Amino acid sequence: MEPTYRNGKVNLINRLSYLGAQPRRGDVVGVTFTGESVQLLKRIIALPGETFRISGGVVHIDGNPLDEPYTSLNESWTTKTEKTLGSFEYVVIGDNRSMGMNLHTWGVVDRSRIVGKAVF
Amino acid sequence: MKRLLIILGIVGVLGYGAARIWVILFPGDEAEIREMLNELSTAASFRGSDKPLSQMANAAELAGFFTEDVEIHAKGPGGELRRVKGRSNLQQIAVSAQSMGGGLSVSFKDVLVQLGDEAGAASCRLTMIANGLSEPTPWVQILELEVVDLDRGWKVARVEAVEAVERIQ
Repeated sequence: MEPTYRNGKVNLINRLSYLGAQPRRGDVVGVTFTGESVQLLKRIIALPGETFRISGGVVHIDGNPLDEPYTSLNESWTTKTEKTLGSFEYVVIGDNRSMGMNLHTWGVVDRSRIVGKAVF
Repeated sequence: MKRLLIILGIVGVLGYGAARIWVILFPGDEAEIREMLNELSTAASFRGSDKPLSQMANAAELAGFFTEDVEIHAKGPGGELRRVKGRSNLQQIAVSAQSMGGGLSVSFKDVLVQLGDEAGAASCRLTMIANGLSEPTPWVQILELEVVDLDRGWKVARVEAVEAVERIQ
């Protein structure tokens, strides 16, 4: 999640943030692996029901380019297909996209794996 | 009334103690598998300063947690897919990895154990954290394991690395 969040720093996740609300685009969230001991820190960029693709480093939601001031684009990132998300699916991605697309952990996660919103 | 409560209390304590002793003496399949995985993570860890003889012994100990025909499909820290078949091949890789130095600390978190319909088989899903002592960030990977109960205890028959999130191609 660099440069927004530095490796090795302590980050707090607010577990109550989505009790009465749904995750929103741009939220930085904790995503579980097989349990809550270890979590990914990722940014939500696509919401349930939306169609997602990346072309030349630019994220497109329902065909429209997404403005992402928190990251620098990596023009080598391009998806081969579009993905329409299911009712409980979100696309999460990190802000550091300097590496190749296949070396970055990003993709679709189910709502049940989103623990809460990062406070700082 | 007071006497009855005391008797009930004593019976409760004795019952709890008996249950604990039963679990210790007869841990059950899931507890045995968890213990095996705990020992496996310890065996997979090594120090960079180990002597060659010690490295070979460590590798042999690690290989002992797997079946003879084990299949491992895992991604390395660089993202490349590695397939290893057979305990002897795994042992050689373990020796090679240790001889490269650096040291490695492996731990398994959030272990989920699903006992199979047939006795003597189970599947596990866990998060592996591997800290290379010379690496700045840990390698985190979800693993799915198939384990089988052989004469000498539970062994790992198959390991599959699973993506943490569903990739979009």
